[in-house]
Amino acid sequence: MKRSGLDALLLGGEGAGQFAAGHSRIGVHNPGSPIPVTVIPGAGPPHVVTPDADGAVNLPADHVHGMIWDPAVLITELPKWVGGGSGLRIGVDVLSPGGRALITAALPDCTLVDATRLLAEVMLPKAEEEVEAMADLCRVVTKAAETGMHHGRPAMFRALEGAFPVSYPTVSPERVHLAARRAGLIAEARLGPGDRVRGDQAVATLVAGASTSEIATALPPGVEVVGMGRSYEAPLIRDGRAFPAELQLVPGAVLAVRWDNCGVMVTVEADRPRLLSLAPHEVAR
Amino acid sequence: MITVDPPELVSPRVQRLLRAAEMLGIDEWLLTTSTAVRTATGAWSDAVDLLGEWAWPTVAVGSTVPSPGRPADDPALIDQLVELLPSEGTVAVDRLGQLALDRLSELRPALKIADARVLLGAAKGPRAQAEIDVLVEAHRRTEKILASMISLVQPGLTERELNAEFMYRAAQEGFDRLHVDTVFSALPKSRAQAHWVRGPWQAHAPYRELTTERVLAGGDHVAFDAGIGYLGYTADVGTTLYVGDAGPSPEERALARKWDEVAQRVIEAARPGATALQVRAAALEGWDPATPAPWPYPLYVAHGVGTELAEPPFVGADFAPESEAAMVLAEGNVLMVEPYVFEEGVGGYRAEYCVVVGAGGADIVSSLPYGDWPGY
Repeated sequence: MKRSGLDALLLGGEGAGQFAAGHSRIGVHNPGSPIPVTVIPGAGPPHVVTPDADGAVNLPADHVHGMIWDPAVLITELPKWVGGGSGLRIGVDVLSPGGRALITAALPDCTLVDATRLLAEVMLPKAEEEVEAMADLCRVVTKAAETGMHHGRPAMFRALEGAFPVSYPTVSPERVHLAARRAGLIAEARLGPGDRVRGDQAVATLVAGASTSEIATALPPGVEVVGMGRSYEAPLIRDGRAFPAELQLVPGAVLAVRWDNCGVMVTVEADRPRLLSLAPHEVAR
Repeated sequence: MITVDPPELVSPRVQRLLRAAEMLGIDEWLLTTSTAVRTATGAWSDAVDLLGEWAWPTVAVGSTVPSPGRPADDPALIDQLVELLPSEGTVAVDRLGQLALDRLSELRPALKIADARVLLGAAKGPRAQAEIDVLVEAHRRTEKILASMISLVQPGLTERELNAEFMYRAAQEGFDRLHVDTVFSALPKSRAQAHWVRGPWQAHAPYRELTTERVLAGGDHVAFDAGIGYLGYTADVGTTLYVGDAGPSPEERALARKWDEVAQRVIEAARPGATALQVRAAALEGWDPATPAPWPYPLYVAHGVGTELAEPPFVGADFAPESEAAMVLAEGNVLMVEPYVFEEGVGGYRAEYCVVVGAGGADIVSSLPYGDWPGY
């Protein structure tokens, strides 16, 4: 934030909020029109707006706020959480026009600045234990996908061991696409017909130091790469284009590589990419 | 793959949306959340990443559902869609990143931007009978899954294991659109057990809804709450399950009855023309003001359900009295009535009646024994 000249971050995205504040809340699909629910002030702990106080015991009590249904309530609270001041530069992610209007009503002389690149940079590297947790979840999801392929959809759900699906699963004897979240992190499995060679070629491009724009150019046609963490997150690379552009891959990044009807999960290590899932020749059926 | 909901469900929604747009002076809409896109067009994609809808969002511009393959914060999204947008007038937007918004202003400087929530909210009613029928059907089918789970709630199982079993049984019933990580959460019996109750939660009854690896013990009260998608609408089903063979004590049965008394007052008050403020007052009628209100903080005692899992009217949420007074119940509203009561040393109880507001009042469409302990 200091490097970007930001006085505060106001985040509406759930994954970014949980990354920044370390809390958890009930998993609900289908975001509505987002308003800021995580506030990272220039100094001091984050403020979170949540229905689940039991998911935020890591934060001081006066930084954990009940879910706000009436956006007008935020107008009175935001200035206190941000820490006051005038002419603030506020970093924001994806918001509704109403959410944006609410911020400017609460902080009339602030400047809203896009924070997606900042968030992409800080969220990209995962801690070692996070990578291993995602690898373990990937094993569970892959086992569930195998189960679905052979025994159908209900058996696949049971095999998820309670992990929360974060995609509409595709399930048939020929292909299974499945993603799930456990302990705040996600993993996916994609088993089905595909060209294993393009998978190998795509994985080979994911090296530390490579920029997302370079990877966008180097990926074989029809391959897409997306970051994984608390949800699907930056970078997103497809059709020869990367968002954000020129983001440098760093060790600890976890990425999903998708092509045809299959896909793998990879973590970037200092000297090479490491598969967290089955290999391309194993997922291509 | 893009699929479209049945026309008897989509058509009334689109007609309401067009009427609302005319009333609000909105010329077009650009939507990037799947609920809004499905509400406005009936189209939905099984490729969407449901948690955040970032990497594979569905997008609608008016009645067109393109597949731009760009996130809502990528300005390239606007480059791909701009030809579908008018050059002036007002466009309703549900969410965009700052860069995408800047790009929209750059390419369409004369186009005003409005919040789509106002438009979508104005288009929610009056609901067609076909839509009400789907909501009721979704509720009853979800209740059937819950009913099959009751005997399984035994000591030694974890909350997460019950969650997994519910997913399995839901899929067996053909339901795999889980909108919520299904709640199986043992409620505290006393405030001392609820170490997370701090700050603003201290003035309210202790409650929890995060499913964990907690192992259930005999006598636990397990809050269940599920949200399931069905043909673009949602079912919301909740109750409290007793763990073990001993069965609820007289105090626990009284707790459930106390919950039912609050729920029945809410249902009685839920009539066309009644305001959320009046329904709140009914919930609190005769309630000891020295004790926490009979619903969980920071939720509500009743809410609407439709294409969203929780939608207006909201009763008992944090709205100012004048805002609650402006939320008027209408015929065709489908409401979830879900108080929460807690007695120190006895524990908590929460369940949900699903009611349809008709001309003469609210009819309960739920079929399980709420206000009691299922299975006992």
